Amino acid sequence: MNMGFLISLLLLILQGTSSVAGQSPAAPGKTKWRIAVLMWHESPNDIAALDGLKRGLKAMDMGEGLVELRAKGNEVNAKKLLVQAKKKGVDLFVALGTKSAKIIQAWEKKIPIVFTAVTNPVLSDITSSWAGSKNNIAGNSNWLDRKEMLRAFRLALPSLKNLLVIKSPGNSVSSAEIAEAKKAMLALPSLVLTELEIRDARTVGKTLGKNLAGVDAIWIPIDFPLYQEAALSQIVQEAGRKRIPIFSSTLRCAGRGAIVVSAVDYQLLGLKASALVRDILVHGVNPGSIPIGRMKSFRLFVDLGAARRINLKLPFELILGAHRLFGAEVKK
Amino acid sequence: MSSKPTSMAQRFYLFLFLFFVVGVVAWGFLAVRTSVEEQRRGTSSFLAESREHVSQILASTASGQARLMDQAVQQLSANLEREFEDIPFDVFEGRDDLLLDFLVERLEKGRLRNEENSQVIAGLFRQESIDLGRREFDALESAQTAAGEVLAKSLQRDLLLWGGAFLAGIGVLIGLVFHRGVVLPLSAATQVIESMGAGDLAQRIPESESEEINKLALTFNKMADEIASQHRNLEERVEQKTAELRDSLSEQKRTNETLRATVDQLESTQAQLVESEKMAALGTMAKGMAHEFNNILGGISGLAEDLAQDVEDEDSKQALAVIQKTSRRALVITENLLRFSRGTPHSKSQVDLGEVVEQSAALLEPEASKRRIEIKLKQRSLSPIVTDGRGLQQVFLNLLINALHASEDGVFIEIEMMETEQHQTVSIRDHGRGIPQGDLARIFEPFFSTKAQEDGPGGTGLGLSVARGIVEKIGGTLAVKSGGVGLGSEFLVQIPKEES
Repeated sequence: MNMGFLISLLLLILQGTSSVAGQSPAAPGKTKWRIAVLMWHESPNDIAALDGLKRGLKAMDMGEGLVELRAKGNEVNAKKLLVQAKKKGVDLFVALGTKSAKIIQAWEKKIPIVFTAVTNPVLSDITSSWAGSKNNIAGNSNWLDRKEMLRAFRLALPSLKNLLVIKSPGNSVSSAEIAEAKKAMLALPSLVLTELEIRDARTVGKTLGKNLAGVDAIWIPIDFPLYQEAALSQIVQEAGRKRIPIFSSTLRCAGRGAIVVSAVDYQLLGLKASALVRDILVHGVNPGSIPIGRMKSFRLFVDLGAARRINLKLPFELILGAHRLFGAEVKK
Repeated sequence: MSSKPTSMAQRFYLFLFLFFVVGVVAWGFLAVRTSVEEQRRGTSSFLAESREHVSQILASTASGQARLMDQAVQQLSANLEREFEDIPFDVFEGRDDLLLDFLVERLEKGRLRNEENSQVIAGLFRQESIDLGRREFDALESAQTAAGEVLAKSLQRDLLLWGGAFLAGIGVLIGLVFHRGVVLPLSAATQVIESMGAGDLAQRIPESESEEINKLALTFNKMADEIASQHRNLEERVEQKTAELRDSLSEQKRTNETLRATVDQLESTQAQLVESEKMAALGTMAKGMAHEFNNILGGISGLAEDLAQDVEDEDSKQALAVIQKTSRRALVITENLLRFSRGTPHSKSQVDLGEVVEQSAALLEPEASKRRIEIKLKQRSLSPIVTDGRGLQQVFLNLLINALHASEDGVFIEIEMMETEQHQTVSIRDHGRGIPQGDLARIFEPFFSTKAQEDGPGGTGLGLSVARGIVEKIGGTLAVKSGGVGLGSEFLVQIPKEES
């Protein structure tokens, strides 16, 4: 890393932000805001996004009224928490992840809602368009250019033709991801994507074992039941037995058996969401007019150990582009 | 050859020794020289290749490192650039301290992570470089091994080539010496032996340079001298014995010729005696029988004639006519017997043999016409001769009767006449049943007949016997030819010509 280059860049940015801060109008009147954040589950993505959100709100002196609503994967619990929060008074709801966004969007139609870390809000019926919701909801997506993701998979496995993607029934996140991937595959005609629905994540290994004939690689999308430790270990074991590489688009799989994981920086997503909160609450911007935000950057997590276990030699091009490397055996 | 002959074995052993010594020295010299030269060449080639490979490895490693570094910088720059684009800096408006904390924290995390990644990448690159070097050196080793094999083969080929040429040369040399010392003297000796075998005992084996061959030549020549001496003695004795045998054989030959002439004469005399006795006995028997039968037949014939004048009915007349006819035929037979027994009287006169033949044929013409048999007479004017005309007419009649009897109805009989200075010959040829080959020798014997007992004078078996007797009495010959049964017969009557 060229530290000189980074420090110069940093100084330039700091100079720029100082001038913007000077021009920014302060919100008239109200300075204390009650912001309720619904976290569907304690996923690393949501935790990172929450961290980014909190940092942003703190920087804008809006963090004091932040209330964390942890649903722990329970919809009833989520609604109950939302109702309680609303009773106490809420200026804005923040939804972390697709599930949270769907619950709040279905329940609250007046109070502004900001969502973050939603893969595809349009396909998930959270907003009608990427250009804006035209109602009380705005947000950003962890949308990742799936073409880039598939290219990264193919870079790891040049012979990749038949990619098997597993998903839970009715999971809107993984469904949205797969739909995006299918669109991206139009540019990669030699790649075939096969879907396998896992009805019971507890027996995912057995189900997977029966469907691996002719499969070159397995893709684990952002599908909460499937990247839980119990299910993930079965998948890794079954794939390892047949020497089939695992790729994933969820950070949860990084360093846990997936050779390549492609994901966005969820902390930045949360940070960007805090800017939306400010725009709506402080600047009075109509949430329905705000285009859904997308990330430009993405990160690759490469597990050298997992690749080594199935005798897959990864190209330097992929390794050099990795945000983080796992499972390295450094010989000195 | 004035020089003293030497031992062939000694020369051979000397050659072998020289061959061994020269061969070992030459082989060793070649092997060492080629080996050193090839080794020098191989080492030089190996060093050159090694230098090239090491250069390639270094170049590859250096370029790989540079390429990877370049890639790494590009990737990091691109990632960082994109991340900075994603950072909402306005959130930190007026809170530079927090922004700084945020960025420093991210940079610090990134630095630590990149340090870890760099270590991993450096390790991987080191490993890759080691693998590359190993691959290159493996390739070099393979190339060196292959080159070594090529060199070894080259060395082997050179040694084989030079060694082979050397051996071939030595072989030719030994062959020449062997040819001169052994083959040529033996060939000369063989020629001498073959000449001696062909009878030339004067040949001798020439002296040779080889002691062994020379000894052989001397021994052989001595033996040849003895053989020649014995041969001369033997020839003299053979010549003497041959002369004695030649004399003895001449005398023996003369004695044999005398004996053969005596035997022939005796055989002829014996045959004549047998024939004479046989004919005399037959004549006596025939004469007695003929007289008796003639008297009886005369009585039968006279009585039948008288009775024929007295009887009236036709049946009796026909019966008596048959008796008369039969009696006359019987009289003819007895007449023949009497003629045979007496012998035909030899009355010579000037005769035109053609006329005699024509008259005989005319006598038998009615019988021939009745059976539609044509008697073709190739008439030729013959000079008159003095002979037994009547006897010859009987001869021709007998022969023509036989021909008629032998022929089928509707055929023809040919009569031809020929004349030479000494003879006149008449040929009577029929196309009838012919004569079996086994019967040809007996055809002229009295009472021998090939015919069944039929009517006519020939039926007694005396016709040809009588005819032959007549012809032989006038100094002629009667011969017969037949192709066999079914192929007809030809009788040739040859009559000597006498001054008229």
